[in-house]
Amino acid sequence: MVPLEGKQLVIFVLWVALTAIVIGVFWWVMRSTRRPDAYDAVSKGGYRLRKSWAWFYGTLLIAAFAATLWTVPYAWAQPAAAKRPAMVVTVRARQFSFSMPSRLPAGRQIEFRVTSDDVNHGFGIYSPQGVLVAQVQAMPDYTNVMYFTFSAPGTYTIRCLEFCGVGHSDMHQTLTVYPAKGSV
Amino acid sequence: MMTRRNVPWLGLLVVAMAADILVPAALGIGDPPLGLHHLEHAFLLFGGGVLGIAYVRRSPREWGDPLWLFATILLGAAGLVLMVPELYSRVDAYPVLHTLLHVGFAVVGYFGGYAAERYSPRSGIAWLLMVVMTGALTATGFGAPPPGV
Amino acid sequence: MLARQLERTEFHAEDAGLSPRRVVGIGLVIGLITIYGLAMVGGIMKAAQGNLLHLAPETFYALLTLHGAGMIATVVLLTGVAHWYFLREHLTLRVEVLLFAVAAIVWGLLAAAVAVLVGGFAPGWTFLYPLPFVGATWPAWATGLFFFGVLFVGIGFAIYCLDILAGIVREYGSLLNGLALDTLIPRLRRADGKVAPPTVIAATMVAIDGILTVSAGTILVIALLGRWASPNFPIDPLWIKNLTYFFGHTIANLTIYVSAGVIYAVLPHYTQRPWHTNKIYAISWTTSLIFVPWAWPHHLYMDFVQAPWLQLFGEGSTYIASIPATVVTIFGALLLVYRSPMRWRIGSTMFVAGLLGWLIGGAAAMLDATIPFNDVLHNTLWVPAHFHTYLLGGVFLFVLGFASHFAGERAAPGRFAKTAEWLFFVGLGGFLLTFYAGGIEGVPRREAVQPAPGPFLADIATGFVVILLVGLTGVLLETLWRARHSAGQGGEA
Ligand code: HEM
Ligand SMILES: [Cu+2]
Ligand SMILES: [Cu+2]
Repeated sequence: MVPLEGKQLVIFVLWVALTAIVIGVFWWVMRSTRRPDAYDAVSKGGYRLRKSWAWFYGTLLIAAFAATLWTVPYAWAQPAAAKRPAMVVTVRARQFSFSMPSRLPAGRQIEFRVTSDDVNHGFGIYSPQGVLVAQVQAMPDYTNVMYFTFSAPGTYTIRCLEFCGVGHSDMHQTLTVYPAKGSV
Repeated sequence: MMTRRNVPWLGLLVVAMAADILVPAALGIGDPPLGLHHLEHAFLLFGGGVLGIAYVRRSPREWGDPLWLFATILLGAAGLVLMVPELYSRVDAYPVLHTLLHVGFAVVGYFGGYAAERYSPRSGIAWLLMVVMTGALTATGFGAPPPGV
Repeated sequence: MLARQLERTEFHAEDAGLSPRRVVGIGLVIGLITIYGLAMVGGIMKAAQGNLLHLAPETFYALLTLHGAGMIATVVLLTGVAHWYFLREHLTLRVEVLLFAVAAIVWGLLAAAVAVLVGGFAPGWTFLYPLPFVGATWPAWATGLFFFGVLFVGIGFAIYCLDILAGIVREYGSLLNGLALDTLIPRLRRADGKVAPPTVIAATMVAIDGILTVSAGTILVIALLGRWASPNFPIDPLWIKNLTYFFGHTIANLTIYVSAGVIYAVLPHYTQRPWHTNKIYAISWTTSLIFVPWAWPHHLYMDFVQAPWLQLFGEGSTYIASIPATVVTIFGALLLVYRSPMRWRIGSTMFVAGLLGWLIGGAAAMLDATIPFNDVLHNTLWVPAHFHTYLLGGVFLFVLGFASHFAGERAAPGRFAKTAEWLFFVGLGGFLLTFYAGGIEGVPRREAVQPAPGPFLADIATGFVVILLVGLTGVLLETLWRARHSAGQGGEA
């Protein structure tokens, strides 16, 4: 099994918590039909609750939106200073392989310029433990720029993450990440 | 819609459409950018539609045949086929053909609005919805080549 | 005047032996049989992703395409006829139009099925350009036939939406009244005081957004047909990717809004409480109307060249579109159920369970639609996990609930029905959990051969699918049995 860590862990915990709460609420509501009451008696409280819920949920969404503004993976959102020393690597995807270097350094920011010779592909980076750590689409006629820094050396896997035809599931290759020389 | 109050507006619409049909070709004004050209054609579909709807509304009608709905959809597709840019590039070189194409848009638009409104009172709005959407989406790049890597 | 016309239409339709109930029944039966078959295809795919069955990749991807496209078209059909059935209580709608819509969708499905099963068409249900044309393992006719199939489904849905839209303006005077905006804007108020009920409000939103969606789909298909006819037809890959998801996302998403219309109509039967329109409904459905068509960019977060404003607007719209669903429809449904003299039948259980699926799948969707999370979820099994939760575990349950209601159910379910229901839910839950597990472990979606732990999870999933199908068979048999024994007098909860 792939270890559950990083963002995946956060997402999973959030989803399990939300699911548990939702199931709990449904269970409670379904049980309540054993002791029926008039609609007028419950609806007033219900509308009040709905109001609080709307405020709570709306605030949550605004907060989430604001928080994500700072963490989107796009080039325009990277601080200018962080971009400068990047090492430029071109990735060309085609049915059913990637042409790109097979060795890259750890600890150095890399500017991946990703495109495709034929159809849409994906460019997904899996850590040596098998955790998906970053991805971007490879599209014909366009170049997607992704900044990424390998945090540790090891054998990574590059995997196509967009259905691209009959050989799609074979479209993966390894990438050796070697220790940084000066170490950042 | 065909109340006296609306007549000036309809008149204005006809003038605008006439200008759109005649001026670009007659004056030999060069091809507008593709997106704008699509919008221009969608405007003719829209304007024609408004006139078609207004015509039906002149006299109150009953609920029409379901085939009018079918006609509405087919005319929508026909309008779109006329918007294939391949056609533009062939036609635009000849002012007469270009003008005819513009007339074609107005006519398809007219019958589209007419058909939609004939189905049921006020249902002509469906045609306008379709045309607005078609204009908006084609303008973003229907038949446009990729900008290049 | 209209009443007379209506009578005339009714007369014609009855002449041909086509009462409205009959046409709804036909759509329902065709749809349910199709879903049943496609669910088995889904099970075969899972078995093939595990170690239980071997399929050549081209066969696997063909089945994937058939399953995806077929399921979406079928739920459009099923939710459509179900909502139409209730809308007739408020609007004068034509049974011939419904029949035409059903026929067009069925023809579209058949064309797509031939393209896939005979021709081997296999670019996935989203047929993302340029995949259908580059490195194809199938003949060109299959590509063209499939696109025509999509066009037919689009035409069927469009004509359905057009008739509803016409019915609404005829009955309530305008689309704004259809959205019940007269509860907010005094100028719109009708002399007779008639206000659109929630199920009609939902229909208004669906009819408008449905027409916009089909317009987009038509442009998409015409561009692809142009490319099919002439390889020089210029297409911008980014433009068409946006269009593809605009169409694909919105049409799939709309089935939930159609379902909401069904819920508004049917839940009061079970809870014995009315569901009234008020300002909140007008506001929230207008919000959905505006923002649902803007949610598609969340499928393109990983296309970094996409305009930044679209990315952020897509995220914001997805968030906003979730508010009416959670605050109004689902909350309202729970309030209607809370301490009500609920009649727990197969139908009502399916509806309440479907709301649960909608919420859980929605929560997973919201996480996926959050840009910094999307880069570890996009195109993993998380995606089919979440949409199966609200399509299979939501929309499909609403359809089953409707079928049960339609067949007529007077008594509480017996032991057979209860067992079948439980098997179905256990199978469903287990199947979905394995999907989520695969997603969080980074297993890609749409792979004939998956990296670990995909195959292991697929084996477990296959077991749950078998349980699900056994339960589903029981639920359908029970419904059929009840339909036979109460022929023609359904609708009684
Ligand atoms: C027992 C029921 C079902 C089973 C076992 C099942 C199974 C599957 C499987 C294994 C996949 C492929 C996932 C992947 O690896 O990418 C899939 C994809 C899909 N399913 Fe289902 N499914 C079921 C029901 C449904 C229902 C009810 C719907 C919709 C109403 C649906 C819609 C889809 C769609 C749209 C896809 C994506 C197809 C594509 O990627 O092109 N499924 N399903
Ligand atoms: Cu691929
Ligand atoms: Cu022109």
